[in-house]
Amino acid sequence: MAPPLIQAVDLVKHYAFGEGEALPVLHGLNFAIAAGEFVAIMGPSGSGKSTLMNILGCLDVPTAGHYLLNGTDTAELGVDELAELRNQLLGFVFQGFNLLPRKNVEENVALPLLYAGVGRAERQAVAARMLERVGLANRTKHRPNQLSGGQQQRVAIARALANSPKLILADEPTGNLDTHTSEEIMALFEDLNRNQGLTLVLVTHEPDVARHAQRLIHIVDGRIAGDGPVDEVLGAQAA
Amino acid sequence: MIVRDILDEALQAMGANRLRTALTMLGMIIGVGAVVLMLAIGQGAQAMVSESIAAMGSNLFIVLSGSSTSGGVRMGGGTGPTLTANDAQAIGELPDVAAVAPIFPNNAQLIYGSNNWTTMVAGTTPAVFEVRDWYPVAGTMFTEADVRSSARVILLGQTVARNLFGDEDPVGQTVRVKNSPFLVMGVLGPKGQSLDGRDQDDTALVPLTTAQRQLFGNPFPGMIRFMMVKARSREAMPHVERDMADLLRQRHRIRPGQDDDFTIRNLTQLAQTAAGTTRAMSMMLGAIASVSLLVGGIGIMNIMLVSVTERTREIGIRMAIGARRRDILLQFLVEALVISLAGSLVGAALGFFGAWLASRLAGMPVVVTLWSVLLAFGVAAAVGVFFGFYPARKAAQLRPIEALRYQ
Repeated sequence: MAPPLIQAVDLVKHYAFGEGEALPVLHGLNFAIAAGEFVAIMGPSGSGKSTLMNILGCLDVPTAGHYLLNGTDTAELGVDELAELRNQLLGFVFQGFNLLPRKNVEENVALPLLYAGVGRAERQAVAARMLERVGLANRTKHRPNQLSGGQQQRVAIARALANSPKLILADEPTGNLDTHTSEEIMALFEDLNRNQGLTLVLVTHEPDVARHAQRLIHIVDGRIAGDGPVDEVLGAQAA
Repeated sequence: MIVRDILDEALQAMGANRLRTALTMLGMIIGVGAVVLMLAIGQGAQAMVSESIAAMGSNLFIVLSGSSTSGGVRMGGGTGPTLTANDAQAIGELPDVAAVAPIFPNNAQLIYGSNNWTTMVAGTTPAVFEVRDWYPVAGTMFTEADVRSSARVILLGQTVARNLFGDEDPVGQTVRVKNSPFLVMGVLGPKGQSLDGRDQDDTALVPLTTAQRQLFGNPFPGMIRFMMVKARSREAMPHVERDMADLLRQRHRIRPGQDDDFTIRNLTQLAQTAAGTTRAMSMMLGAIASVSLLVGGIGIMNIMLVSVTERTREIGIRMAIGARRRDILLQFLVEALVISLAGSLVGAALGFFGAWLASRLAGMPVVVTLWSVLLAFGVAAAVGVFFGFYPARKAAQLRPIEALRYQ
């Protein structure tokens, strides 16, 4: 069997504050995610799911334990190596979209390619292709503030896809959207997972959103409270 | 990221806040403009001084006769009858003395037709041409023969010629000096202002003996007021000065312990002092102007720091999608550099314009040299890098999660 795309081994994270004091956030998590999975991570606020997301996204490193992404132990990497890893393997979708307001849609989507050292012409071509895939082929020259929230999130998804990543990390991607638009965005995610074989990890606190995934990891107080098919875990929670 | 992409990012960021960018640039514009202008003025002054030095002639001494005493009133240097044409001749035979010109000047009115002009008429010998490196531009110089025969010939300085003759050619005409007719042999080339601002062209030269015997009369035969001595080289000046003093003391029979009855002045030394003063002044101008360049640089740092804080979230986003620290560092550094270089380009242009105005309207001598422009640009680039580095490094060292969370 091929090694999993993501492997967390005894993942521990403390936040240091003051003299020698530390706030423990994650208490030794163990899980693995294989390529092609669509996983939702759920938990109440303060449960540590954002901290876990930061570690999965290589924006932060664990205090103890190991996080292996595509077989690479991130604990051994420096700041710039983590940046390269994010650039080549990961795509981020944030709750607040996080598009650069001064750049037009096409430039926003092409930005990861800029840091990958891709030439101008190819950047434009790729950006156009990605925007077509998320259904915004006719909005390339618009500024983010000229678009609706749903459209902005589609641009963010196109940007996450630009570098052909192995994994998309979405942090409350529908948190700022109405129900209808949320459904559209989730349908897009499902499509990308099913038809493009993209691995998706999604953090949410809404069961309705989590239901779009195949697997659910439920985190409470920095520990895994449930891990399995979405309906089972949600059922166990309800019971 | 390639250079063009980094430049694009910088221009985009600068364009997003045009007023702020323009105001930041203004600091550099004023700084570089001031440096270019001040250097131009300083170098102009230096050029004028070295021109004056060259006009005076090089390696020069002036030997003045001592003061005369009339009823207890000391009349000042050059009034006593101590120096004679023979002294001058004897000094001319010293080693390393290139030429000696005895000078016997006095004021006299020159008349040509209905024009008159009062000027200093100096009796001298043909050596004066070599000593002062001053030759006629029209006509010829007088000769030793003219001196021997006390010929009534005269050479006019530019100012005198212009005032007496206007556009007419003076050579071959006759002017009256103290009612004696003098043949104008030639017109001397222009010398311009001396270091102390005198018009060196407002003078006329006649043979020494003519001045002594015919024009001004002389209670002591052969007496001269002063002489100009040219040494062969600058290195020879100290010993020429000693030799002259020894020779004159010996000729004047001055016993050891008695004061000299003459004064030797080293004109070249005076000129060097003047040049040194001007150089110091122009460096001071440049230094003062550099302060405004420094202030401009601090302005850049200030704005870049504000910009980094404002764009913390943007930096977080860029880092999340794969910008390395070096990419962020370069982005902000290039931005600071573009601001300072664009500002210095405009500043240099304004400095040129200011220099042109100063020379055009105020008649100031200005010299704009390539190196002063290169210096201004080099300093501006250094200012951009120096003051841009700290904010850029601050941006590059942000932690991505904290930057992303920044509101």
